[in-house]
Amino acid sequence: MSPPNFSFLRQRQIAWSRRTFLGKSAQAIGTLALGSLLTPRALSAAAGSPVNDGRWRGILPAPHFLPRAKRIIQLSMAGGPSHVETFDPKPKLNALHGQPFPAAFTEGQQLAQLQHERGGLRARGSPFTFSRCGLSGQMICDLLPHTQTIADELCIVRSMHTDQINHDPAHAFMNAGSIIKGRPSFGSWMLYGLGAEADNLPGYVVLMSNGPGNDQPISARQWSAGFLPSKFQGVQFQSKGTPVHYVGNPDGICQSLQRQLIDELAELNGYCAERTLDPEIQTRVAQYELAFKMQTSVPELADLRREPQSTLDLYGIKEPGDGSFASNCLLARRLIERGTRFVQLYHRGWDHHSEIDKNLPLACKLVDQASAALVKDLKQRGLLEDTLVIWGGEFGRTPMGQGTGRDHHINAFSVWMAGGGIRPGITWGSTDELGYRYLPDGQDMHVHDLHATLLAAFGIDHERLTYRYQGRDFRLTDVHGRVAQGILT
Amino acid sequence: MEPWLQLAGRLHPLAAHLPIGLFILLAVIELAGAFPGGPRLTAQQRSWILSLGFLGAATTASFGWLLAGSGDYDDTLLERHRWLGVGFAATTAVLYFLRHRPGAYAAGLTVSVALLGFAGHAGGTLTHGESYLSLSTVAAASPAPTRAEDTRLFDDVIHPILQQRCVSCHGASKSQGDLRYDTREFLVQGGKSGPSFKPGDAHGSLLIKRAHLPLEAKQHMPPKGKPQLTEDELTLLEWWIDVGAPFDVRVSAIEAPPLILERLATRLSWVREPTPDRAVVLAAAAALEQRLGVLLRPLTQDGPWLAANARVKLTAFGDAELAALAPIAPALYWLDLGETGVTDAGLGALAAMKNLRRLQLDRTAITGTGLRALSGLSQLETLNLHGTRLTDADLSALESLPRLRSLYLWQTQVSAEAAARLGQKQTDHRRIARWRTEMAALEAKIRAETFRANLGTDAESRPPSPPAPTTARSP
Repeated sequence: MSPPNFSFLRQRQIAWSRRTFLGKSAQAIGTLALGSLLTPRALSAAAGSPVNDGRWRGILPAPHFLPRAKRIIQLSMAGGPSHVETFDPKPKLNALHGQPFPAAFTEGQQLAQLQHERGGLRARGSPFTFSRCGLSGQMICDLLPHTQTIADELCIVRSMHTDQINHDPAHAFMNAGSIIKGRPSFGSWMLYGLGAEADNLPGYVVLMSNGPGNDQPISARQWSAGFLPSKFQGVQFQSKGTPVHYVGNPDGICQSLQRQLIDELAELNGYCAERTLDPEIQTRVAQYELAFKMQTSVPELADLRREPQSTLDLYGIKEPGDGSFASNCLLARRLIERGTRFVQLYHRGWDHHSEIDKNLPLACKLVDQASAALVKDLKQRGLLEDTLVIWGGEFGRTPMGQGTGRDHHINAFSVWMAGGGIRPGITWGSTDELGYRYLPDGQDMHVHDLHATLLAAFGIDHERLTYRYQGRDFRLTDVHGRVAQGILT
Repeated sequence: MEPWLQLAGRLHPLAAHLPIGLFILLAVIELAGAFPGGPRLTAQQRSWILSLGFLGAATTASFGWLLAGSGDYDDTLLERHRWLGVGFAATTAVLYFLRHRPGAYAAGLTVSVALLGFAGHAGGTLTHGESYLSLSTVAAASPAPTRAEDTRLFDDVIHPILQQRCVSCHGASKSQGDLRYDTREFLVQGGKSGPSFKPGDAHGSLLIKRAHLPLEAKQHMPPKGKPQLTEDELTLLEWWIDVGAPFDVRVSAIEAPPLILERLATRLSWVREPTPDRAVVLAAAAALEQRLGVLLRPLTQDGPWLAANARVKLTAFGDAELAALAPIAPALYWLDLGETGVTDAGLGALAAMKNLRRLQLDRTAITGTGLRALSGLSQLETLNLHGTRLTDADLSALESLPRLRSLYLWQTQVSAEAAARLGQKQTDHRRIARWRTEMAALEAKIRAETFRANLGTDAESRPPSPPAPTTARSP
């Protein structure tokens, strides 16, 4: 049985067909039948979740196969960290430092800003050292001393590659598997497919933090729900001050009055929904209800002062709620604990076109301790068992120098994953001797492959989570994607 | 013996089926023909069937004679089969000449088919062993001992395995390699290659070594094509040899690791817990979700298995609510009771959740007393007890969980030493060591199959060449 597709276009078709008209005229039974066809909640009931408590339980009546993970935290290192200076050491590149880059590698290839580099392309070695870490002996740069301590939890993928060479489209590709506007992001697909466990917090939350330099902006379309109903889009929390503005009641309004107001609005919107069949009305009703619940849940969530000093120290938080990456990591853990499905942390500050020797250590220092602390904290709480953490940029950086820095690079970059059904302590895939290109050894990981693999960890067959839009069944991986079974437990 | 004669001998079981088929067919048709409206064979058809049948029987008999020379068979049984077979072949020839005399022909055919039946059975016994026909029915009929103190380790566990997997070739009727496993005396005695086992040293024992050879290997036992020992059976055999291969002890008299106990339990309790019905479970789950406000999600599309999240209700979920989950208890795979209000008194309800894999009890008021309710959860893999008031002494309640692999004890009173002691008991070092050996052997294979070209030390300074162009997979 294919999963029932709640396409609103289809519902509209049914609603205005001759058969429905006759059914409606016949009153009684006809009205009942129509009624059940109209509300998506009733449709989801047909899919096996007959409970009517307003919680979205996902379009899949059950996962396609036994899931390993339930939640995911994505640490998006915006700007593109240099893979040859973090997780992919290249002694041969260091040996070639300053010499012309072998033309055989780069001939006819797409380069971002480097194609006009004066004096031709030159190899740029890494001045930073690497160490073998943990029992697994994984190679991690000494700029990431805390990450080195969790080496045995990590699956390092060195063979990532993408299609997009500029920041904004590359983020879109990493998030939605496409650069075309209107495609749902990964988090939206997850919510659509599986729903969320929390009903008083959004199921998909985005947090942002900045590096030391002037960073590329991140567009809010990155967490858009695209053609999916907009209740599945990511909700951005402010990382400084209150996460959500205006969450308190205005003067003179008490909580019970607020409750009445929401109920009245819901009823009015319900009438409207019956007439116009716009799914966005359902979304609005749901959002009002969620916002009401968030009036109590968010202040509790954001109260980082409840965390003991030892936890703040573990993450390296100087001032709780200061908008730093560390604070956001702690907030992410608190969200995950409270049943949020997907937390995405954007941290800007990895776009090292110049002075990489000076700026990379700064960038590493800002994220290293908190990233490792997040994994350790999840682990000691038993949450790493079913929470997947993924760390990485939207692309890598060239092994060729660009003045004192490195340019964008799509043929190779590294990410790490931990927890939630990912095999710990392994390095997956590899690049050529200069770190220019992934090796096609069956362990190469295109962005589509990464998406397929992540969905698999959640028990979802990426080919069977689809949404009909403009006459076609769309999916996150479009027509691509291979599951890297070797990195799943 | 000439190789082609040997081959002909081995074709005996194949050839045997032709005359069996032909004569049974003939008997059935003739019998049916005795009734009005039944089929009638013409004289010519009858002659053809009889001639072909005789040729088949004669060929089979001579092939059989050749096979008998290869030895390894029980003499009495072999002689019986030989002369029954030859007798049958002879009657078919006589039958050909009696075909025009209805009375004599009918009597002859009856004798012939009877001889055929006895000869066939004797042959089957030679190949498959004495108890081949009766084995499964006997096993099912005799009520199995269900308690450890009643179970005789050798008679109830080990011998049935050997009986089932080995005795058809190493028994009274056929004893390949002069080896017999049908009685204790023969078992201890061993065969042509020496004793089968060294008490106390499973991996030094021939029986175990042979079973671990690759299936393709000539010396692998049981031979390729025969029913193989299962992983569970092999583990039990190894354990029995390791504890000294005792013959007259009860299972309860030996300290068995949890995984062995679990295997014994599965082997000896013949009645299996039925899998809960998906539709029934889902209906009950929906009603409970509505009533309790917990989340109950199916985990797979075909099975009844559920993931339950009671944490969403926090302390509003207590012992009474836990007890209310009883209708879906056997279907629960994951159960999150973290931060809920459950107490020791309510944990008794967990005993019915036999299929539980993951259990979260973190930050609840439970103590070691409540943990005893978990002792029967033989499938439990992950247990989260962080933030509870557990102490070192309470861990003993977890020793009986055969599959427990991760245990979360942060913010409890449990010491690192106590956790390590439990880890020692939970780990089957012997099996892990065996797998490491197997892995090392595989790595050696990879090394042996890897090609390396050496271009000398100056090649190091040459610029690297890019890898072969990739086949375009995505745009």
